[in-house]
Amino acid sequence: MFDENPQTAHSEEPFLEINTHEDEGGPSTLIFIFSIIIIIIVSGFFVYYKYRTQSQALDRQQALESTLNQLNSNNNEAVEETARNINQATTILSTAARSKFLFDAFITDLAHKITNDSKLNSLAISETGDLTIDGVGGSYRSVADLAISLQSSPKLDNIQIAGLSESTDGGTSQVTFSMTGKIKDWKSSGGGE
Amino acid sequence: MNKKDINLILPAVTIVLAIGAYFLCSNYLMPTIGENLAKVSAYNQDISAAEEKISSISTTEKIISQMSDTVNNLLIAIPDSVDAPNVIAEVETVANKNQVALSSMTPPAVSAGNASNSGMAVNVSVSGTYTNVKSFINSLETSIRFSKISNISISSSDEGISAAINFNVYSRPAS
Repeated sequence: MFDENPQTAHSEEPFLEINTHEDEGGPSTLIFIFSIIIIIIVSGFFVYYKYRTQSQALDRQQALESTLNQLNSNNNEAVEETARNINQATTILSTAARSKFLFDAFITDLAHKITNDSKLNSLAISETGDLTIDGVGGSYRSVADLAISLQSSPKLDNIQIAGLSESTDGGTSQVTFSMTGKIKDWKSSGGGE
Repeated sequence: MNKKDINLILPAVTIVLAIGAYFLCSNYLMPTIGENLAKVSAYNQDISAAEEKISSISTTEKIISQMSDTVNNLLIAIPDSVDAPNVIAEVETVANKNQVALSSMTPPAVSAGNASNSGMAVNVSVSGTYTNVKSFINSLETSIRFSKISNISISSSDEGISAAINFNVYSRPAS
């Protein structure tokens, strides 16, 4: 009786062990399998995303080439060339026109300032806006009147009588004069400024 | 394969897969994805810039066609080049139109690359009546080809008026 009990107990022990291992191994196996699936899904997503972005890049590249072809068409190049020409012409015009002085209008104004008994023999306007007038007047007074008249012009400044000389021509006295002055609204006509 | 083997193999496979996936993603997939996204972004920017330029060109084309007369006049006023024969012919035409005698003329010295912004100088001497000489000056100033008189000298005699006029003509820089 005493001898049989330990044998009976020994023969039942392995059965108990196996049951214990089955209970512990099931969940860990599932966790590993689940982990493998997750790894495959994540890796697969990255592979898919890589090819998707590659395809997008290719599409965009083709779209860019198409847009550039459209941009570089002959018609667009002609429009760009015309626009460039207009810009250049406008730049030159705006620079040069800024310093343009209208001589015709000035001569018209000047003619209105000439007194009746005076006559201009020559008129010179230099590149710096200096005015030189030579002429003949009926008397010293008429030359002085001419100088006052010119000085009153809004376009002239610093009128100076440079020389006066009286002479007689056929019994008639006349005064030859030379005057200088400065054009007020003269702009530097260097052109390149 | 018994359950003990499975219990050993599964963790090993999981670890190997995880390490492999990590290296695959970090060394190959993610850099490539990054490069592709950067390319897409750069292409999109280039496409936007190109489309903006196309739109701008289209608008410019419309404006140019609407202002075609002004544009043509502008391009005649400042031509792409100045050649002496043309200038001589034009000045002679203006002189004839205003009935002044063209005594002398120094045409522009045209050089390679053409004019700068300061223009090319032309000197002319004309004679005629006061009205005609003045009209000639006016025609030069208002000619469709832009010119700028830089200095002038007028003298009168019994025969009439003579004038020496220096003016500049302009052309667009060679592109």
